[in-house]
Amino acid sequence: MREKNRNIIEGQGLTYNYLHYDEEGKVDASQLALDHVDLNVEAGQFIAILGHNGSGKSTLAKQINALLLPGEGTLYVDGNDTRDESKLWEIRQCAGMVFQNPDNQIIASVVEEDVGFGPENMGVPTKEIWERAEKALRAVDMWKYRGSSPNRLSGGQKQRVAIAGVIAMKPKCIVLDEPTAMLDPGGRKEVIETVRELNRQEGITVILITHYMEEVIHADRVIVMDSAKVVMTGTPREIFSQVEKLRDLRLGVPQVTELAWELKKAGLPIPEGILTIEELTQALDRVRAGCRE
Amino acid sequence: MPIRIEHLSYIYGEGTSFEKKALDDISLEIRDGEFIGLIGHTGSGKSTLIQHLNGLNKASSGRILVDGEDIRAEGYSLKKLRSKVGLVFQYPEYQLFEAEVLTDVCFGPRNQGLPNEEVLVRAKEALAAVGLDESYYEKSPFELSGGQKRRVAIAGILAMKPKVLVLDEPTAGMDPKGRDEILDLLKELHDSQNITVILVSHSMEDVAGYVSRIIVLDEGKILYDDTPSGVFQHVRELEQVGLAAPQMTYVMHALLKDGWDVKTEATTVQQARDEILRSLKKG
Repeated sequence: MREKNRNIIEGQGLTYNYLHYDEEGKVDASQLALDHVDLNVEAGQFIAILGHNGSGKSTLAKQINALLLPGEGTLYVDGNDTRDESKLWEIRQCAGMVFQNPDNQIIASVVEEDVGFGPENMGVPTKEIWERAEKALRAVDMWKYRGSSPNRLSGGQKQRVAIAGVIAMKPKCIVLDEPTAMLDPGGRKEVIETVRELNRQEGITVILITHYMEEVIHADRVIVMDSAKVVMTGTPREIFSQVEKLRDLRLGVPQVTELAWELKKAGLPIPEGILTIEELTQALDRVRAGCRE
Repeated sequence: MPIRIEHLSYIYGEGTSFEKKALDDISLEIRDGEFIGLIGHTGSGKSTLIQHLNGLNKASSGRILVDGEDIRAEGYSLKKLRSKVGLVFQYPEYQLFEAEVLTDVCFGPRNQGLPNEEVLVRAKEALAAVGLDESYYEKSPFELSGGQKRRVAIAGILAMKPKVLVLDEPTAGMDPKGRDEILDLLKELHDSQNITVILVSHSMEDVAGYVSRIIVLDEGKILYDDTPSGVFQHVRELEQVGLAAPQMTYVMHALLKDGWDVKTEATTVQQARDEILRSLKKG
């Protein structure tokens, strides 16, 4: 028997082709975006997906809430087959998505109403809509802006409102597709801290797609994609120990990891896969103490 | 072709209840051949400022002199200005509209009224400058990758032979390698063609690695105008205005706190590495 409850997301052999049609409506080209990808995510995990532009990350993300359906293979979200049309609403409620550009995701003229849009669409009773909106706005620390107009907010604040809009639908899982790409450093930090907090406090499963390597160092697991396939998977430390391999995949490592790697190359006894400034300074302090003995 | 900005202010929705001072008494001099980073949080006035440089916005007060001429003086040709100061918007690839790459790049110089042969020569030169050879000429922009599309969009501006190239977050949404490629391209254009480059960016690491001068905007005012190491010494102040220092600056400050004899000016990995090795050698 399949165990349906252990993994919130269970994908086997996921394959997806983008088809191009000619003027007569015949397929004249196709592009393989997912090539037999397996994706298993335990409930409550924080997963990061890395990969260069065009590697298939966003296609995979869109499979998770059934915006796209597998061409081959199967995908179960919280036990529901995404190809089962009768489960569509359940799947979308279970797995919410946040996209890159906050301006494309906010529709109402008042923050609180925007957050209430999702639950309202689900047919939640009015009183509960406001309760959910309040809880969601408090969770992303935007409650005091509830009466504001979204276009008066900063990029980071808008993105937090977009996240609140998803949380108000009480999802078990949030998929974020480059949520910080358009934000300034302060906004990036706000959004990433908010997401980590939701993962730790509320136990929401997080799938984060990003091009900023520093944002994934706290993930439970990192998945690296290339040419429609999963090519690496492991803890952030395991992944970021492979500086040269990541470069070949058009990716990089956090700058502090790169510095540690450069210092090791210069002959200093520094462990592999340093991820934070604290780890690096501790390692360097030991090196210096050794030099002085 | 120096640009001089004198007491520039710009007010959105002047006289309405939404009135907002987006730029507040900005004075700046941009010299020939500079590579400048313009940083500031969302809404700090960066985009408003660069839109003044090629006459897309009209100052509420103050003036801008390009090559000594006031760009708002009567009879000054804004068309001429726009061929001198090229502006590459955010996500410029969304603005590609022709069926073929070469035709798209021809659009700018053709609009400048240049003869056909000259238009073609310039378009081909511009595509070569962004690293796209003739095999791309007849491709549809839609067949290209995101990074290639962005190069085509930049070529479209370069074909107008601007002396100053202003780019609004040219690396947003790109993978790390793509970011490096675009930034290396700008450096190459700057070094080989002596183009003045003004780079608007939200990545402190990118800015630190490439530019020689950083202008920080906050609330429509200039907060700092200095070298990267000068600007990034103000770690706390930058964080207060929604920015940050590059990760390397934080590393150097942490080492200093641990009692290391290091200077904290390093802003790039290479500089940090060299400074740490120097300090260790000294004992």
